[in-house]
Amino acid sequence: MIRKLLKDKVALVSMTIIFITVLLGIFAPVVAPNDPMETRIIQKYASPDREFPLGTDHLGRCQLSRLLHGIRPTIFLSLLTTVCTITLGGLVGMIAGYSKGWLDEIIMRAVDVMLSFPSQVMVLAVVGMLGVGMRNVVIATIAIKWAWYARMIRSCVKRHTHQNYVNYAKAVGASQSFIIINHLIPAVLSEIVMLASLDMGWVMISISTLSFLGLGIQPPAPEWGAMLSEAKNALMTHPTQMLGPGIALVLVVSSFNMLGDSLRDALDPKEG
Amino acid sequence: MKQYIARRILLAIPMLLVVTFISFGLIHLIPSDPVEVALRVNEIIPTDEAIAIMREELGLDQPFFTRYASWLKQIARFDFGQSYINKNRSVSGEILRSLPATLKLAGMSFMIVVGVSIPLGIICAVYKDRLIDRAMRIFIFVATAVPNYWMGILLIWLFAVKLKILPTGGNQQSGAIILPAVTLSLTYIATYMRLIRNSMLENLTENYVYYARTRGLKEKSIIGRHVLKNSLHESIAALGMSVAQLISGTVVVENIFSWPGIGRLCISAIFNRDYPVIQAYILMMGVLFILCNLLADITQAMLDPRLQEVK
Repeated sequence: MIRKLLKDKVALVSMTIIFITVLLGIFAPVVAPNDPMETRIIQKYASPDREFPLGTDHLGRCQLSRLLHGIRPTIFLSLLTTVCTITLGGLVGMIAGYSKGWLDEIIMRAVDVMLSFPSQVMVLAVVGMLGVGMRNVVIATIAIKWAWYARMIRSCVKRHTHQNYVNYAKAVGASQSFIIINHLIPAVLSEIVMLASLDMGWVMISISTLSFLGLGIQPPAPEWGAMLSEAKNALMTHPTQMLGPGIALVLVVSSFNMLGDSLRDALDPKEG
Repeated sequence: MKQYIARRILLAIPMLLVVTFISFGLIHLIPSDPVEVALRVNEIIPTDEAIAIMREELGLDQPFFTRYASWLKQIARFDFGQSYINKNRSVSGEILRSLPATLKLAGMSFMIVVGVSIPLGIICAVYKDRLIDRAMRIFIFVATAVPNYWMGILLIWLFAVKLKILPTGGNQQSGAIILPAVTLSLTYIATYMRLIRNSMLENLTENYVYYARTRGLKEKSIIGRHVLKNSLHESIAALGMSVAQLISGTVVVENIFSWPGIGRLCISAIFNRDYPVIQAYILMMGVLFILCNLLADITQAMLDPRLQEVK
């Protein structure tokens, strides 16, 4: 599968973009030319020059540095959210799929209820009740999204538990935990990775939207959604402000989408 | 058919109850005491005495299920209580005041979605892998990757700031609805266009299409009368759900374009910690989703009698 993926040019390009962005995010303090928080009110809305490669914002803060530091909350929190969602959803789905019977029934009814609520409204609801802030946005997203994975992974597990190699493992007396860790998890892992990659774009847009509305990260911390919110206020006078964070967001989101599509194609047994 | 509708409605009732239960229970997630919040936002110092009075006034001294039952009775009369922020305003009044604007916006977007995605979906299916299909595939890809708030800002910049042909926001001037409605519908146009395209392509491989072709029917009438009818059946459920999604999706768009609807009401309620308003908003959205789902299912079953048997 990995070899197939490396042949796919689209997947290669999107992986490169994601990899570089993540690296830039990790080394943001080293790479960024200026302090993202330092305000220079005299130099506000400065045009791009050698000191500020992308100009400055309404408080005279370096746009490029804010963009680079913004990678952390935007991408890393989305990654954290996705990983937590998958772990929770995967665990629940695994239990439901493997245990069958009444436990499965109860879990799946709970999942049905969660899925019947529109996810955007539920995120708003949880943030509304817990209060504004990035931590609550992450909690809300995890609380809503896990059910989606639980259902997917349950059906994956169900499909695999009837395969002969699992039956064989049972027949030779392997313990349940051995079967789950050594057989079921590797079997469903590739599908989970694909789902996660397709979902990362959604999570990134969702989290940055909440920051844009002012419900997520609080100023002055740099985040792409929040930066766009500030740029919106300067729309009349300095429309170029919105280009940097917007293009960056679209680039990374579409990279994750493309990678997810390529993974799906690579996994699809139909296309040999 | 009647039996199917009755059964489907019966199935929706427990879902409605669950939705009310969740919207009621969510209020218990508040990290602080709601009584104290209610007092503080009205700038009353929360002394023990004031807390006790307020607690009784809000009915919070009752046990959970008693409160839930009386709350259910209340909301059945569309009474969501008083806003914490503005004691003189009832929550239902606030919602009724801002609902028409949201419905207008969502209705307009729905018309755009239906009017654009169905013809484009058909064209893409008919001219599969030709230039227009490929161009539309790029559009779909871009529309799913661009966050709609950024799209909104870009549209404001282009049409309001640069070309000066449309207002930037509000709902007073004529044509003010165009930009928010287009912004809201873009993502959904992409989704439904793809849905209709794929469903038509799937139908085109069915036996009845071969039969129609062997009978010597014109391709136009095969597409228009047979394939389109069958693929629209499948898309109707999704289109029905899009009404609910459009209404809940207005939150972002209303905030960008200063559109005075329930999405903005909800966001300002979140900032002001006006919990009754948030609660009413969640409840309304939950009920709306269930009703739209119900209607979509029933219409689909009416159009396609086979579905009545399966469930």
